[in-house]
Amino acid sequence: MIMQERIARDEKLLFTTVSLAVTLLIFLNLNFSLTPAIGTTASILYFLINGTFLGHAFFEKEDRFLRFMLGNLLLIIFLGVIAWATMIIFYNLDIVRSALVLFIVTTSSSLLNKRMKRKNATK
Amino acid sequence: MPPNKLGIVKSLRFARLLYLFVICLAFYLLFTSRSGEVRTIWEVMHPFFIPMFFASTFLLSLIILSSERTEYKLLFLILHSVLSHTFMIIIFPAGNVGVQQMMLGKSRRVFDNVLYPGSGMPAISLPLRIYYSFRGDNFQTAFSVIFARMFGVDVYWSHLLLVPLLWGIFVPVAAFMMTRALGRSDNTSILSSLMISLFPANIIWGAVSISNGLGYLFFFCFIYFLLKYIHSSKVKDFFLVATFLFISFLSHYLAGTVAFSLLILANSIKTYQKDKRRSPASARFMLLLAFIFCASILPFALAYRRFFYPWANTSFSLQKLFEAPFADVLWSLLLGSYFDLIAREAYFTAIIYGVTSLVSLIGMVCILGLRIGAKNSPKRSINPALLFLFLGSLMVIADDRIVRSFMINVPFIEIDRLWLFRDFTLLPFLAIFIAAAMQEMRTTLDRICRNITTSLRRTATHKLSKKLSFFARIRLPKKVSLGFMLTNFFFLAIISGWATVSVYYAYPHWSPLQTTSYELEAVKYIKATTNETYIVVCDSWMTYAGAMIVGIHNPQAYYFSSRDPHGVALFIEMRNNPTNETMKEAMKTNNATTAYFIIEKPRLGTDEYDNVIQKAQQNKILTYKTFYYEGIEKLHIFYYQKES
Repeated sequence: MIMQERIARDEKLLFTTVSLAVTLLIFLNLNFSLTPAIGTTASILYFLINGTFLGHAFFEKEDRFLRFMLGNLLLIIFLGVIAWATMIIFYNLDIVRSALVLFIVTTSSSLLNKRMKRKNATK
Repeated sequence: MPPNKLGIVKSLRFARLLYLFVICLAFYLLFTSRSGEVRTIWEVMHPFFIPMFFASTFLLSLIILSSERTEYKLLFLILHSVLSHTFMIIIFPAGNVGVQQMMLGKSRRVFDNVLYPGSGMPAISLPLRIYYSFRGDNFQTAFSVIFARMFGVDVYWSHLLLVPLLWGIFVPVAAFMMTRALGRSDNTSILSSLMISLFPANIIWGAVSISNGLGYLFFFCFIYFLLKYIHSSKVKDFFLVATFLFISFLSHYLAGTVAFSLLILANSIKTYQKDKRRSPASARFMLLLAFIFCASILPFALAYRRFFYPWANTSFSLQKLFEAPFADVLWSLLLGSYFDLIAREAYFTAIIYGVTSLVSLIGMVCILGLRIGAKNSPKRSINPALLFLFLGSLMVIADDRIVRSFMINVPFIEIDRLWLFRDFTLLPFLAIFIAAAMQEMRTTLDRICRNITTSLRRTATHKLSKKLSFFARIRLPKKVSLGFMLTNFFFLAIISGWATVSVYYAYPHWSPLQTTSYELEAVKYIKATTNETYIVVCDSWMTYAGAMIVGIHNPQAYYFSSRDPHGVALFIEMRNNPTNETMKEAMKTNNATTAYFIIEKPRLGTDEYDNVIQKAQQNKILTYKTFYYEGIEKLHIFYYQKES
């Protein structure tokens, strides 16, 4: 659980960078190898980091476990909404656009986490 | 660590390991039940599975009542919930036959970058375009495709697992949070979580990957955030409510509409809370008006759906009231869909589906009554969350009766579509009721036990034999609370039994033949061996299999949708008189170079199957491949290829 705190602190944007690297890995996996093992590992990392970001941004008062679960619920919803919007706007959800969706969600989660951290610090 | 505590830690660790072992065994038994040709899960279910499910639920209930950490309890509950929602996926070769397969057909087209529905209809009106864009299947497609791409798997897997996994994971969490938001202890909240996730209607709607399932799931989460919002005025809480309202609407318009009504109701209750001190009568009147307005949103939304979708013909009507006998109308208004079940003599199903809701309603009314009845007490003020849930469930019940009795051509025919909304607001009270009953029973038994022992101790030394005196003197009440043990055992047995019966009645006991393994193989075989454009003439069961593997209306590999009249007509023509001319006619649909005609023995019956093959051979239609299952011929593919 110390890991959760470290991810939420995101010092020097370390975990945001890891999350972006994971997005790139998913993109490369889709283009070149399409291995479920790589995809699953990368996705678990993606959920771990961004779920924690959103959990801290919106549910900081909950227990660690619930914070993580609710953070992941929000992450899934954000992924769904942005993927849906992409599909409606571009009439397509191919590999490039899927990677774009992951990128947007990662960036937003990280920004929300930073914003909340700043808000909590000023309190 | 004191030895007492060490013992507890050890026994908790043992219970954890035992539960994990039993649940793994239950999953294993499910996997061994998997079959390539099956109608219902009960046909092939391993005989030890149900006893194992009962044992695992008993253990889980035991862990829930123990002093185990809450996160472990929730984690085990999630495992249990996932198990109870994955029967169909594990046992059937391609999940439940029907709508979910057509939805996969739509997702498949997006996943394979073949076609998106919106791209092919530039000429439609703006309201219709909005209607199509906001349909639940688009949102579900977005989910299935993005997860498939993330995990590097085929969309088939992400689609099949989407709702059962999301439901299995998040419904217990939402139920826990919701009961806790009502001010209950962690243990009661976990018990509520178990009861809600193992309610029969919840099991079946969470077991099939369709947009309704997603809608219900997000609606349930929405209720939790709404309860939080009632008590708070933070922007963040409103943001979460608005997000989940939007998501419920995107998942399914029914969930979205009910969620919207509840949001207005919640706002009205907030206003009522502010106004009631200043002017109680006017505040109550305004709340009543708001309730009527909220209850009318769903019926009017259904009636005016035609603004977006011109073919919708739902309208208000008294036709049903005039057609049915007066007594039936009265009972129907009173009991709702339960009356249909009773009229069909499905008494046990009516009890299974109805008794928990009834107990929950009684629990809710009791709590409300206690609050209102507590004069000169700070408890007298009704918790706004409680009032909201009470009015919310009343609103859904009113909507159910209006839709059933005063409307015709309602777009959903299943009797339990609105039940779930009601149950989500009611069921937390079941656990509260059970927890209160347990506490009461424990206290009573403890008291009886203590009284008996005391009286025995008093009398035994003077009047009775030494033997009885020995029993009286043992310090049973001090060492172990017999009442506590008896109550726990009694309730554990009831909860586990209820959960097992609930699962047993949730999954259908009659069903058509599910998509078989050889039907899937046939579709895959044609796809793998045909490079040119092709079309398949087949029955609706085969189109489901086709939709799953190549998508619906894929221009390169064309399968008609199951409801396409042209496709149905072509198949009937081929079945009655199979000719190459009909195949050529079919090829015009997508300018195909090859046409296939597929028949399956279990769908047609042996005589007709043999008859069609004989006629096709007489008419010189070539055989492409024959498929066997367990050594018996099951499926035959004919083909015709355009001469180049």
